[in-house]
Amino acid sequence: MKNIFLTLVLAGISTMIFAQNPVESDYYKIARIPAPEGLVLEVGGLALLPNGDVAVSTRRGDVYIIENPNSARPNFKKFASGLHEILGLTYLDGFLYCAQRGELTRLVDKNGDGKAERYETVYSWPISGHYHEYSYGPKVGPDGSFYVTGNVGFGNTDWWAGKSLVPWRGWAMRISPDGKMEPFAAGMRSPCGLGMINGELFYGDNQGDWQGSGFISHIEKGNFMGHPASLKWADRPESPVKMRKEMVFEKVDPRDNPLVKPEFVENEAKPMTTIYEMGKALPNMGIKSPAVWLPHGVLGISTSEIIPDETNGAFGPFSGQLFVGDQGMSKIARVFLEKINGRFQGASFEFVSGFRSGVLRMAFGSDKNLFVGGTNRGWGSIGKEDFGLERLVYSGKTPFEMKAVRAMPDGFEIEFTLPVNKKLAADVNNYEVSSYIYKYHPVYGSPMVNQKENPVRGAQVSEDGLKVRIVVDGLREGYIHTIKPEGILSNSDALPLLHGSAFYTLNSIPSGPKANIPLVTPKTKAAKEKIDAGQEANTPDNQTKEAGPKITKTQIISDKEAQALLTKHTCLACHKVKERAVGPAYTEVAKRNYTNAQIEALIIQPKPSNWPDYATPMPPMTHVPRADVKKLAAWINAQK
Amino acid sequence: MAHAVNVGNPSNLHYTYDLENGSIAQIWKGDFLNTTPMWDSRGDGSSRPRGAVLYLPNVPLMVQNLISLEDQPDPNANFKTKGYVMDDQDLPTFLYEIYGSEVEDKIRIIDHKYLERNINIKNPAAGQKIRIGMSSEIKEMGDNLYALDGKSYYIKAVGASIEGSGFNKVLTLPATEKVQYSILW
Repeated sequence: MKNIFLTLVLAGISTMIFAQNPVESDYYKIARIPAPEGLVLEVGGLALLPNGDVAVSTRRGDVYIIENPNSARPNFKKFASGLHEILGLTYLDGFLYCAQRGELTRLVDKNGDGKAERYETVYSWPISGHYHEYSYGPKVGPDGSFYVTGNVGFGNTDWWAGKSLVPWRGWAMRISPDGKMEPFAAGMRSPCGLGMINGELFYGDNQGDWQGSGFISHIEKGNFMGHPASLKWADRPESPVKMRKEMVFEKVDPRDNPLVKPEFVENEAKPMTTIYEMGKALPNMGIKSPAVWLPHGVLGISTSEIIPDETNGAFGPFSGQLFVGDQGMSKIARVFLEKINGRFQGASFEFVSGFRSGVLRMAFGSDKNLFVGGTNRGWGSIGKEDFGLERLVYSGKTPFEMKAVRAMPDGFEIEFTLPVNKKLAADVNNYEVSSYIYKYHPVYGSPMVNQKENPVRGAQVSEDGLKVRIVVDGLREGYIHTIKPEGILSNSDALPLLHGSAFYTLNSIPSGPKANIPLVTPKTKAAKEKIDAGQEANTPDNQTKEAGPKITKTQIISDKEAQALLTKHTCLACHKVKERAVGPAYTEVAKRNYTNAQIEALIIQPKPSNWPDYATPMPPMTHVPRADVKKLAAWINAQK
Repeated sequence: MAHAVNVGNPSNLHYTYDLENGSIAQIWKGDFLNTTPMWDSRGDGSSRPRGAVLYLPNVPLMVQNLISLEDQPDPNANFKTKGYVMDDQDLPTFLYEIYGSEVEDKIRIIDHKYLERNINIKNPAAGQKIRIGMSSEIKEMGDNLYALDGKSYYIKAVGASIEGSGFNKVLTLPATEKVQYSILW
């Protein structure tokens, strides 16, 4: 009798745990594709072929065709070799096209023996030979033309400054099938990710100088995306770009001194601006601010491929949305796009993390699952393998997620993948909305600036329980709005959201009717958090404790609390506790024997020169509250 | 050189072909390439010959101005690289357009010893010259053999002539439909 009782209780508990803690892999599983031993498969390009085979290009310059790629025993065949750092591969009308460093190449297998014998230069562009002049693409436009992008190089003494050393570095180029090149748009820094979405060209860029965070942007001819180095060639007769360097520098001091790396200054002589504000100030210059920002350290640190979900539901509930890879964080984000007043904007979400290497390229397979190719050589990534080819396989189960967030005249409409518990969803206190933006300046990255809470004043649930309209105070155009329906559960299984945040880039507030619902005043954040405040709270009870012996405040927080803070403040985007990732392990930081105060100062104002072995400098973490900085510094120092 | 192809050969005689001007920029004997500078960490994007290198003038092959040392073809030449075709031995023949002519440039290692270059030119324009050698000193040795750079290497060509003077001597062949010569080193 006793035994039976115990078993029942245990079964009950385990079901509960499962129900309350769904994880990404319950819905999407990452499966490694077995590759021949010794093959250095640093994936730079992926393309599905009409027969279901998959073509893979590598940074070492080979192209392989994988037969039976969805099976447990895929077969690799070398199709081409001897190319130079192939960072993009596309199949079109019987041929593979790839971007090498210096040219767009068509690979032709005329005799059908499974091996290319013609390596045809479609168009060759200038390169200076700087190692960082990576070239990406192509993506094919509706008119059959190819789009490729070129990374900027960097200075010699000023290794931090992106430079366009030869024409069209930092540009997107349009190349006609017969090999005529037209410079298309400027202002790119590290344009590793291209995407063709319903015939419109998009690209993603990385955090760096002039770019506060990763993002995706819509590119139209003549656009300027933000990085001024490329404008060196804007006055050439063949350039469609009207923007000029001087116009940027009039608003923002470029601090172009080859001997002094520009660092973050809280209050600069000129007023702070953003790329969105630049577009407003210079409305006819083709300045295009991001369609959707990918918050740094949360959704990524180095944006890669952009791929639309055209599987009509075969790959889950996100048909028509975009997946955006991230090299440094070894993850994939999801983006819902909409067009408001003629401009693209939308929401970004977490999707799947935990890939084995840095996610660089994606392609849907014939079975509508996603091939994911990775590499991290020289760049670093959270996934610790040097390279890898994996498949992301959909389980068929629907995760409880925010499917979409749409801008409304007075707030947002959140659409869920499953019906919500209507009572919880109608309570404004179950939502948190806040907003912030990144600076436009020559410094590497940007802290989150102009942060503000946006009170949620109303919440109306749709009849089917799939949509909630929230009324939000203080919406700001040109800002990222973080939307967290923290207290919402699904109706049938009481599941929490698999990912609790949406990041909506509000370029334009739509016009239209406001929600016809009574507005209420939400509890203040402090009131909501009061319950957890414990002995910190200013209660009579705690005040009387003042008289007693003081608890020492140098106490180090638990690993669990540290993990929560490190996640919340995006530290884990680049750091691991005991292993090198994008940045050094915390154990390595602790070994430097800094004082806690020194670590605190370095969190707020990092000195990348202290860690010359690391490729990606750390941005200032000024958004982290001082109290948390203190806790984290003490904890980091204890990891010796 | 930023846009070039290194061609390795089991005979341990290798060369670099510059895709920006259609020249053989260097030849070397020994092992093929050290790709570590390119493939270690981020790399510097370059690879290096492993062996003794003979540097050749990295200038366009087919010209109107014989003594120009510009490494880029004359803009009026409308030079355009078209890539290359591999034969069944996996050896490339390079293709490009210049002065309105299509050029096929086939370089092969003969008897593990020397390079033979066969250039096919479709509709060569009248008066074009092929620069097969440039040096301050070109010596005719008889039997269609020419010594360059103080006999550091030789070119064998039928019907070649030495033009130019002083430090800018040029060994040329007329640009006909088929051009052939050898580089012996």
